[in-house]
Amino acid sequence: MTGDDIPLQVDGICASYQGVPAIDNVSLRLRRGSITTVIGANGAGKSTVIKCICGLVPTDRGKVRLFGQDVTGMPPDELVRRGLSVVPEGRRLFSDMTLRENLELGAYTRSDATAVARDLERVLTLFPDLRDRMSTMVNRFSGGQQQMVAVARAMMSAPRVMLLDEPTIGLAPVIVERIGNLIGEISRSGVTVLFVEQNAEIALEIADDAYILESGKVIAEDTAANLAQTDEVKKAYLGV
Amino acid sequence: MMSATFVQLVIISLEIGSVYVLFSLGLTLIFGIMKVVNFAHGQFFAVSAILVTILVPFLAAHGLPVLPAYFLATATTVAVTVMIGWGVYQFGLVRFLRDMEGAFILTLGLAMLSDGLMLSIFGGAPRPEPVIVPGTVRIFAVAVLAQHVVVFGAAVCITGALYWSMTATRLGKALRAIASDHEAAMLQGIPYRRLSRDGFLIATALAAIAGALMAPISEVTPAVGNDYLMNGFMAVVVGGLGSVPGAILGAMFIAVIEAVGGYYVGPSAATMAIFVMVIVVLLIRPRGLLGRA
Amino acid sequence: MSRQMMAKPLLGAAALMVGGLLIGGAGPADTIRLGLSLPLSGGGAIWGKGTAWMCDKAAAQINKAGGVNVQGKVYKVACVAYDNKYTAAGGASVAHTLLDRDGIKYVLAMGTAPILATQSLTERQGDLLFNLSWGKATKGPKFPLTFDVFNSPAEIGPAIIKFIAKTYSSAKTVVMLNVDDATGRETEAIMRPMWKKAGYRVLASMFYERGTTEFQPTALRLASYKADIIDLPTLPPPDAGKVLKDLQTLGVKGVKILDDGTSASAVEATSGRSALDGVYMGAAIPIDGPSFDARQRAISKEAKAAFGDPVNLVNISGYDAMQELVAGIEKAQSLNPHAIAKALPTVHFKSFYGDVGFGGAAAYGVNIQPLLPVYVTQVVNGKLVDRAKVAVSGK
Ligand SMILES: Nc1ncnc2c1ncn2[C@@H]1O[C@H](COP(=O)(O)OP(=O)(O)OP(=O)(O)O)[C@@H](O)[C@H]1O
Ligand SMILES: [Mg+2]
Repeated sequence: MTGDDIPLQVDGICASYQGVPAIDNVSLRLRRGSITTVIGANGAGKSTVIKCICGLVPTDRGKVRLFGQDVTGMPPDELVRRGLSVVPEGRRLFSDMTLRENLELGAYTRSDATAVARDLERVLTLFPDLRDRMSTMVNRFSGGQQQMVAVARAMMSAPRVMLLDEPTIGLAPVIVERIGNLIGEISRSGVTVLFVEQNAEIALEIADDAYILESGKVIAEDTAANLAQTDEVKKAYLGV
Repeated sequence: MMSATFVQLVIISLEIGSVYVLFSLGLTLIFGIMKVVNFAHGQFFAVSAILVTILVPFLAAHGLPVLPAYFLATATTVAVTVMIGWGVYQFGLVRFLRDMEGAFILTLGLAMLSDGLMLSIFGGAPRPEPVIVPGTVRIFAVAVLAQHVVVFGAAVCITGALYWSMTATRLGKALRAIASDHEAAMLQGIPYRRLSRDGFLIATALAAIAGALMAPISEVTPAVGNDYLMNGFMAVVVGGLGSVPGAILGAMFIAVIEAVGGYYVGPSAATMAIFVMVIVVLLIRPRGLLGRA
Repeated sequence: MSRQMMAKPLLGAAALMVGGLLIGGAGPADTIRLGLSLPLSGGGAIWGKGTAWMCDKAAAQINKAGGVNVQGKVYKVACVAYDNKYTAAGGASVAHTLLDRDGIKYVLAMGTAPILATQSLTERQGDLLFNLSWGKATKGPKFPLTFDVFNSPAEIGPAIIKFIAKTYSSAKTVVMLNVDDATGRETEAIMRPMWKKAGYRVLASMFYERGTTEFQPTALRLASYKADIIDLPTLPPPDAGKVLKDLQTLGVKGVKILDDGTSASAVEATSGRSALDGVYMGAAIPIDGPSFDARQRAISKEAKAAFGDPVNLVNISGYDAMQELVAGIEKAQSLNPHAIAKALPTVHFKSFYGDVGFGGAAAYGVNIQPLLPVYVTQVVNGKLVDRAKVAVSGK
C-alpha cells in the first residue's frame, strides 16, 4: 500500500529512558480516515509511542513514516508542518496565555489568514462555550474545558493526522461522551486519528482499529469490534 | 507640598531603575526561553560600551556631528555585538539549552575569556566617554543629567516595545509559548531552536543597546558589565526569573532600596539592605514577585 | 562580584605560567636580583606593569653606571617579576616562587593582601621586603625587615590637610567617603583622626561596596551635610569620576579631595572635564611642573610609550625600591638582608624624586619611610597644576 492509504506507519520502534526499555518493537498502521486506538494500562508505554512518533523522544530502533516518508527523529515542529498534530498527555496548554493566543499558536505554521479564520470559526462552532471566553487565561478553565481547548488548538493547524494522548482521562462521563463524539467528528472531516487510552470501553467503542500494549509490547491488534469480543480483552480491559 | 528630598529620591530611583531594567530585560528573556542564566550578559554590555567610546570620537574626527556619530556608532556596535552573540549561541549555548549547570560553566568561562581579551585589547583603564546630550535639565526644581533623562526615556520606549512585541507579534507569542512549555510549543510547529537563537540575539541586542546608552554616564571599563550583572541578576531573581514585568518590578525594587537606603543610611548599608531584602522576598515568594509556581 | 573573584585566579594562573616560562628564575651568580610580586593581570595590571618597567629602568641605569660594589666585588642588578593577581593566594604563590625556588632575598610586593602573604615568609626566613601598600598594619617595629617605598595616606594626609588649612582658612567641616575594603577602612582610620587633630569637624564618614554602579544616592547624602570639604581618599578613578559628576549635577560647591588620586585623565574619562575642575589630588606626580626636570620628564615619556601610563606615585616605587636596595647594600657592604635592614634607615639614595633619606618614626615607630616629597596638585581644565610641594619631615 502507498503512503496515501497509510498516512502514518510505525515499524518496529524501540525506545528507552536512561537505558531502561520503555517500548519494544512497536508497529502500527493507520488507515486513511480511520480512528485507531492503542489501549494499555498505566505505564504500558502509550505516551512513549506518541512521543516517539512526534519526535519528542528519540527511537533506538525502527522507523516512523508519515505519508510514506521517513520522518524518524525529525523534530516536532517539522512534523507539524507536514500535517501531524498532537494533543499531548496532560494537555500542556500555554497556561498564562489567553484562549485566543493558545488557538493562534495552534495555527503557528499557517500563513493563510482567511483559512485560519475559517477554521477558528469551525472550531468555535464545535465548542460553543469557548466563544465568549477568548480573552480569558486558559488556566482559569475547568479540566473538561481545558481538554476541549487542547483539542481545539490541535485542530487549528489543519492537520491530516492527529494524535491524542488519553483525551478522556480524569473527565466526567458527560464530557467523556463529548470527547468521543468530537473524535468521530474530526475523523469524518478527513483526519486520520490515533489516540491512546486506558479507558478501553470508550476507546473500543469509538475506534475502527485497536492495538493492545502491555509492558511496551503490542500483544494484540485487530479491528476494535473484533478485539472487544475476545475474552482476554473483556476480562482485562472491559471489566466484564 | 512634597519635600525636595522626596522628589530627588523618586527621580534617582527612576534613574537607577531604568538602568537596571535595561540590563535585566535581556537576562530575563534568555532565562524565560532557554532556562539558563547567561553570566556573560554583562560582557555584551561592556563590549558595546567600549566600542561606542571608540567609534564616536572616530566618526567625529571624520567630520560627523556628535548625534549622527552616536547613532551610527550604536547601530554598528549593536550589529557587531549581535554577531558575537550569534557565535556564542551557535558554537556554544545551543548545546546547553535548558541545561542550567552546563550553561553556567560555559557562560562563566566565556565571561572570563572575554574579560581577559578585553583587558589585553582595550586595557583596564577607564575609557574617555563621549558627551552625547550634554548638561542638565530641571525636573520639579531638581537638576538631572540630560543623559539620564535620555536613558530613562529609552528604557521606557524599549520596555514598551518589548512588551508590545511579546504580546502582539507572532514571534513574541511564540517566544512566550516556548517560555511556558517548550515541548508544547514545538508541538504547535514552533521551531524551538531557531527561536531560542532569535530570542538570545534579541537579548544580546538589548544588552548592546544598554551599553551604548550607558557609555556616556557609566564608567567604561572591561569590568563594567560584571558590576551591572550583579544588580541586574538580583532584579531578575526578585521579579521572577523569565518574567518581563517581573524584571521591571525587580529593577525598581532594587533601585528604590539603593536610593532610599543610600541616602538615609549610607551606600554600604544600602548594598547590604538589597541583599537582605532579596533574601526576604525569596523566603516569602521563592519564585520571585511575579514568578510562576 | 563572585564572578570576578573567580575570573582573576584562572587568568592569573595562566599568566603566571607564561611569565614563569619567559622570565625564568635563575640569574648569573654576580647579579643581585630584586623580586617583584605585582598584579600583572586583571584590573591592577597597569600598576604592576608600570612598576616592573620602572624597576628595569633603575636597574639599567645602575648597571650602566658600573653596578654595585660590595667589598671589591662588582655586581649587576636585575628585576624578576611575577603576577600576584592582587590576591592573597597569588601573593603566597609568588612569594614561594621568588624566595624558595629562585632563591631571591629581596622582594618588592604590591597590594595589602599579597603583602600579608609575602611578609609572613620574608620576616621568618630573613628576607628583605619593600612594602608597596597604602596601610600601616604591615609596617612598623614588628617587621624589622620591611621597608616602605612610597608615600601612603600617613604621609599624604598631613601634607594635604596642611595645605587645605592654609588655603581655605574658613573651611571647618569635612565629610568622607571611602571604598569598603581593607584599603578604604585602613585609610579612613588614618585620615579621620588627622582631620580632627587639625581642628576640623568630620560630619560623616561613609563607605560603599566595590562594584557599586550608581552613586546618585551617595552623592545626595554627601551633599546633604553641606560640608566645606568633601574628602574622597580611596576612590578608584571610575568611581571618583561618577561621584564627582553626580556632585556637580547636585551643584555641590565644597572643596573636593582625591587623596590617593594619581591621574587626572583616568578620573576625567568618567567624570568629564568640568566636574573634575578644581579637585585636589594627593598622589599625582606633576611631571610637567617646576618640581621635575627634563631627565625625569624623559623617563615619564618613555614609560608612557612603553606601557601607556606616565610615571605615577605607584610605578615610581619600582624605581625607588631598586635604588633603596642598592643604597642599602653599598652602605652595609653586605648582601645579608639583616645587615642591609640595619643600614637602610641611615642611607641616602637616588630616588626618582631626587636624593632622599629615611624617617617615619612618628607614623610607624621606626625609620622605615623614605622621606619623599608630597605634591599637592589641583586639576585645572584637565591639567594637573602644582599647588604645593610638601616635604615630609622625618625622624
Ligand atoms: N521521562 C521518563 N524517564 C524515565 N522513565 C520514564 C519516563 N517517562 C516514562 N517512563 C517510563 O517508561 C514506561 C512507559 O511510560 P509511559 O509514560 O509511556 O506509559 P503510559 O502508558 O503512557 O502510562 P500512563 O497511563 O501513566 O500515561 C514507564 O515504566 C515509565 O515509568
Ligand atoms: Mg501516558
